Amino acid sequence: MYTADPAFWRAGAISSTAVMLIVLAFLTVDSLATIRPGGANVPPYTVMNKEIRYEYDSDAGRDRPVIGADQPLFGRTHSAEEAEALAHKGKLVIQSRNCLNCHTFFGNGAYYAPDLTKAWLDPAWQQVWMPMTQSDSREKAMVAFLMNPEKYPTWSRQMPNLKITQEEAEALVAYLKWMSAVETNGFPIHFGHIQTAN
Amino acid sequence: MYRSQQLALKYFTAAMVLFGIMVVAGLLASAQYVRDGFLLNVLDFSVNKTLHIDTMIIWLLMGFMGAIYWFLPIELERETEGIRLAEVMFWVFCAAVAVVAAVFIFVQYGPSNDTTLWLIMQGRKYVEAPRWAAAGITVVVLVFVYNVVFTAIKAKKITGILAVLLVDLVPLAGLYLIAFPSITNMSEDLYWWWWLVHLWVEATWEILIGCIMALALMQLLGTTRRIVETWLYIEVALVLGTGILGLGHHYFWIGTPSYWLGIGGFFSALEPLPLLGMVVHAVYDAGAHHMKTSNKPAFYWMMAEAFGNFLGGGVWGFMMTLPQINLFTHGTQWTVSHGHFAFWGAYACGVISVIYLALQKLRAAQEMNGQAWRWSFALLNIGLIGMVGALLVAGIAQAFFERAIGGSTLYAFIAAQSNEWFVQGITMRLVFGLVFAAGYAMLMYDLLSIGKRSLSGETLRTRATGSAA
Amino acid sequence: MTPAEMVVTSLLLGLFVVLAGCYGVLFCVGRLRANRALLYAAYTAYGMQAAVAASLVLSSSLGEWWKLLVAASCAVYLPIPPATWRFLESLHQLKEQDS
Repeated sequence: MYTADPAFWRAGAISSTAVMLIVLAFLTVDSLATIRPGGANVPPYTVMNKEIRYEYDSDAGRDRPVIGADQPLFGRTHSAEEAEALAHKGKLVIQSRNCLNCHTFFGNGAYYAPDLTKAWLDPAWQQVWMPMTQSDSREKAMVAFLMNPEKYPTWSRQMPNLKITQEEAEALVAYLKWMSAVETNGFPIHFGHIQTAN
Repeated sequence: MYRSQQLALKYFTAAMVLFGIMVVAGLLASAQYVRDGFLLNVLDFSVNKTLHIDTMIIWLLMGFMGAIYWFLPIELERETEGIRLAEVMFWVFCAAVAVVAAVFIFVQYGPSNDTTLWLIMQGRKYVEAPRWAAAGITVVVLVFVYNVVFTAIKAKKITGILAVLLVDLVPLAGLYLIAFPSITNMSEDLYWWWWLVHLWVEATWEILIGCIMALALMQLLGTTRRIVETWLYIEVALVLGTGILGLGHHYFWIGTPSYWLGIGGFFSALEPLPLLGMVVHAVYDAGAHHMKTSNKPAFYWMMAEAFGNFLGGGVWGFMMTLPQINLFTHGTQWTVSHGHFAFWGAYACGVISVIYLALQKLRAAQEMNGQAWRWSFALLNIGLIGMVGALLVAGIAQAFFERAIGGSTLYAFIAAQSNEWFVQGITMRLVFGLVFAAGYAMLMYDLLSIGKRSLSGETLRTRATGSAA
Repeated sequence: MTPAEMVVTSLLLGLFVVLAGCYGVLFCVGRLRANRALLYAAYTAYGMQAAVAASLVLSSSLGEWWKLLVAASCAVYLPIPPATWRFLESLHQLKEQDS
């Protein structure tokens, strides 16, 4: 009976692995093209100069990012090189301060602190932090909070002070703004809108 | 005893020490959920969590390496090639881990530049260690691969199990290179990061533990080579056949194309099938031997491995893997519940089982039994299942209140974290964590003493009455 | 999918696999001990698994392809324990023949 022969199953192991790896390779090439900045799902870093919204698209059956009119960040319109440099710096801040071990990005990381996928769009910046930090813009409120989170708590679990400089905080805010414009297949669902249980 | 086996014992010791550090760090992090402000700005949650998850990965890796160093000379009937270098690399590995841990605790973070990435913190989950340490680990792993490969070459012999192991070590080592780059684009960073994490724990590690369990079964139950080999090939076919594209279940929401929802969800939903096969196999083995074995703890931990893998990986995973559900459960305590259960069942139980096997040989004990192993087995598993259940309650509350109802904003997050179900769950998690910690202490006591008690009253009584203690 | 449906659906999905596990274990132990009661219990577990699958297919808000997957995998789970058992027996019999 050939099923009792280990060689039969060895052949099965080799062939199924090979087939799956080949499929993965093809899908990787396609996915990488989709997720590069400027690809189908990920906007170029210069989207930080635009208004970003997140709205339900009934044709697609999910929430999707919507890029709107010009909306300078920190009062400036950043060139492609400047935007990329800011994003690069912002990502270095995230890594150097180990943000992923309290927060999540696209739901990946740790769950002690909020998910930051759509943090740029969180109503708390306008409703709570702009008055608290006496800032006249969302991004300035974000920078003020990041530099001194202990001064602007919103509940009893606090963010530690990670000695984030002004330059780093601005880069991080720019990064979060860009990130909120990534197409995530509808995650998180109906961001900012409260539903009923049933 | 071969020098390779003595090295294995060192790796097992280091693994158990790191297991203890993992428990302490876990308790601290759990306490930070229950008590606001606990160790804030001293040892922040991110520090404790980093220590917790990194010591887990390293202790399991050390356990695997120890198991291979243990079985390799038996398989090939000769000393491991390059054993002296391997012995040196063990101490290098331990030193690197100690330095990295010290930097995590006392330095914690640095400015946003490459120097920080090289010396202090890389800040990507599980691979937070600075690049110099990642380089060190790469060298340690390469020496390990060299040991295995060249022992086989020098022995001019290869077995089916070793062949699978050798092929598996290549991607296992290669994937670790993903720990090095710093990619600005978070989507791309996570795309590759998931190759490392998923293709380790849901592919190459599954094969590795499969090889180790095959080698262990031959020792523990005298199962024939042909049976364990056949089973190993079937396992590889099913685990990789489902797991390679099951990688897609991490590609639902990170910016990748929407076809991953279908592909990832479909293959992920098939992942429990090989695990059910393993449970059937485990029950068969247990029954065929009428639960009689000279090493009860090794046997029970191996059973725990099969069941834990199925429940933690298969059941808990299936609950949350369909994209329509995952949209709500993604990145919540539900994930934590699944992660704890799956890592425990799939890997920790297996490593503990092998350590008991090795100890039997080390202490030349005719029989490995007693009360202490039963207590530690009960406390660890009850503690773990308790934590998992508590986290499931908290996770369901979070998915329900923060995501489904609340709209995932900061205030939705706060509302869910403050919800009474969540608070109950997260508090009970700490309680069961303490039970687990007690189990760990018991395990350490038992590992240090089991098999040495051959002249103690306990075993004499056992032999006299003819029943197990 | 409403929040309440989400929780119930995911718990049912988990229960689906738990029952598959119960079926497998009960079947195995039933065969090991040649105990008919245990075998009946095994098939009862499978029956419950099929009932869970049916409720997911008929009443949940899962997409149609996912419902098909649930139904198909329920069908696939049925022969796994008996087939694995037969296979293990034949492997072990060959071992007896060898030794």
